[in-house]
Amino acid sequence: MEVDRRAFLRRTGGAATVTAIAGCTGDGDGDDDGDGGGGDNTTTGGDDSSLTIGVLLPFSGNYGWVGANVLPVVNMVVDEINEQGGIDGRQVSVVQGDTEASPDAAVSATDRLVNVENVDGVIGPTSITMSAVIDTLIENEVPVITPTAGTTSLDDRGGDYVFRTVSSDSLGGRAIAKAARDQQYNSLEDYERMALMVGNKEVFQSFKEPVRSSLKEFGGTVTTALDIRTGKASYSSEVQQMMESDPEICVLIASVEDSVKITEAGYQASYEGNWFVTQDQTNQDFLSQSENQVTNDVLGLNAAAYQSAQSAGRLDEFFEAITDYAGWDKGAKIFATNTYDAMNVMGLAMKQVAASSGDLTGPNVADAISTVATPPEETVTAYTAGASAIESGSDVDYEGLVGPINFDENGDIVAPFSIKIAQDGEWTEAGRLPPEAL
Amino acid sequence: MGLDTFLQAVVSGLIEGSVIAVGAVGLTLSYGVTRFINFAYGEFLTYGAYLTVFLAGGLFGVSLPLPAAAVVATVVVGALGVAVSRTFFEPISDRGALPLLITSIGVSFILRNLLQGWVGVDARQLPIPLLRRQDYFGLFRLTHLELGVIAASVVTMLTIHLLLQRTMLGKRMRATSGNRSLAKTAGIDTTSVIRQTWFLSAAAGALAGVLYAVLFSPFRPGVGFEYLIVIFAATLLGGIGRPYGAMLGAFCIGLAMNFGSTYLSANYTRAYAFLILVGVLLLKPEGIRGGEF
Repeated sequence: MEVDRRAFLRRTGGAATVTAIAGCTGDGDGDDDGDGGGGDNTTTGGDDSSLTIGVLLPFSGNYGWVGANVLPVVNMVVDEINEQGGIDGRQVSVVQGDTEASPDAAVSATDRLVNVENVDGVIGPTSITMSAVIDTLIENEVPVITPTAGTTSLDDRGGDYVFRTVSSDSLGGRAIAKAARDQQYNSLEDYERMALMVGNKEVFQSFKEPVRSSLKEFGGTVTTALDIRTGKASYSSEVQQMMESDPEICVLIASVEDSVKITEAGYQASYEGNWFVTQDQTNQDFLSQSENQVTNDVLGLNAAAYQSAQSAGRLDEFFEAITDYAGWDKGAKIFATNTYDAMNVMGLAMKQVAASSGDLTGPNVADAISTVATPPEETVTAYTAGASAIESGSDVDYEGLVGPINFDENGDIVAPFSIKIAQDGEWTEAGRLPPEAL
Repeated sequence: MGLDTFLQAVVSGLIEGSVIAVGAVGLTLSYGVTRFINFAYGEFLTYGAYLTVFLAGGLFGVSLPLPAAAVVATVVVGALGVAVSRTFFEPISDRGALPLLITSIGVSFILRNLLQGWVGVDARQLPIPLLRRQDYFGLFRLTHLELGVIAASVVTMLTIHLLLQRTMLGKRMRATSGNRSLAKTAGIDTTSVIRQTWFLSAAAGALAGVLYAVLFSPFRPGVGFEYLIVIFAATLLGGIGRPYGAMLGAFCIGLAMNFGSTYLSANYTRAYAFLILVGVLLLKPEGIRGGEF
């Protein structure tokens, strides 16, 4: 980052940290219960002429950790934008909309952001509530960049107003099938017979078809595909049913809590196959709730560090900055890097519109989102450098922390995947899947 | 799905029935003498499970062995039951069943939210080893812990049976249940009997919570309230206010839930209990055991 980060943090860190984490008391690393509260508070003040960014995510309930992970990163970038004099002389403010990870709450939070707060852009929502709010956002021409929604329901809806800086579950599901089939990616064996156990919510179901169809394409067999009701006390019957289909590996797409119950039920029933879990469970939370004898050799999908950002030291720089800013104990929290990219692109798009003397309307900003992240223009990796380049008349191509951030016609990006393997309570990398392997 | 699947469903049904039975007996005991359905009863399960987790996990500065933690938690929750009764229910005990029932819903919210405010909504589990199921006679499989749950339930049932049939307290309880004013006229201190019954009821609820936590981890503060519907179903099936009926009803519900999960769909486990509840209310509201206390 070209801005003097330490000086910047000295100037903004203290007060901004307080506002950034106000109402988000959880530590937000995925094991937080999410009772952050205060989900509808304005966290960064602004006047009538300010531009408003709505953060439309769960800030309370079981998924409250998502909002807690995302909001400080949004605030950090917004502070950087305001330090640079704002956009077109207008300061940027942030407003929270608490979806509570519930479609009903998401609809009212969206209505408030769109009709009362008149937001100029939205960061969010998650897959759980995307279907409930996408029509409202598109009809009201609100530019949206979500760092958190991999849902396949967005595969053919994005590209005009809705973009994302997280891989589609279509790609994630394909990665699971590919990694399971090929020992070079999972370090264990070429699995051929695969069962699927999928939670009966959109956020989980979204993975099902991509895994199933990709596995067939890669020469594997789906022994059974079970939809399971989330939040049950016991999954013994479901596990028994899965075992009767005699798979070599079972792809488990469910919440951490249900996954703990299911893998333990498998252990108790002497299940001899392996498990493959998604990004939702490939974290310390899952391993710390289970015993090592249950989780050893379990495979997990994760977003891989973007090589270019890592070798340039940008990832470490970001982790250090956000750790200082938000008072976190670690910077590498789920969705943090995706959010950094989303907010930088949003800011640069607004800057681009302002620089070309256009009105900062939804359609103009949405058009500019692709423009500021498309090669082969001048590569920039942070808002300050990008804004300077735009002011000097250059077109920019934002390169992010999770990948090169080149949106396709559906507003999707491609990013590398990492295949993890659980060993003695820790995740280690078993292999890496570049997008071209898919 | 052959004989082994059938037998495994029977065994799983009996295991879950054991938990339900302890809970249902506790609920029905308090109904027997108070004559109102206590919606706060589920919280006794929750408090039992959480207190055991904390006592065994060293939260209060001591780390008790699990059985000792369970016993202490059961006694503490029993005392909590008496305190709840004296604070919320005794002052309005002469106003009929409906105010008591509504109050119990409020008490349930208070207890649940107090716990949430204290410990949060994070999932918790008991510090017990994860065991593989052992084969028994080549017919069915279960873990030593599951065997322990059945044993604990049987011992509890026998204890309650002996208490009701062989002790003076049991006789007073049965007398109070049968006709409170007559019992009072006969010189029984019914207020004391009701308090003792509250203790037993809450303690049984706490023990059911511990047994539930042994089988079904991790759990959250809503666990007892959510399980209440299953306990209601068993209690009504057996005939509310009748401990032996509750025991029988519990095993029927446990078996129905596991047969339904095995042979119909595992997604509706508790719906089978609910179906039975509705069926009983429609067809035989006095329960399968229409006899005496």
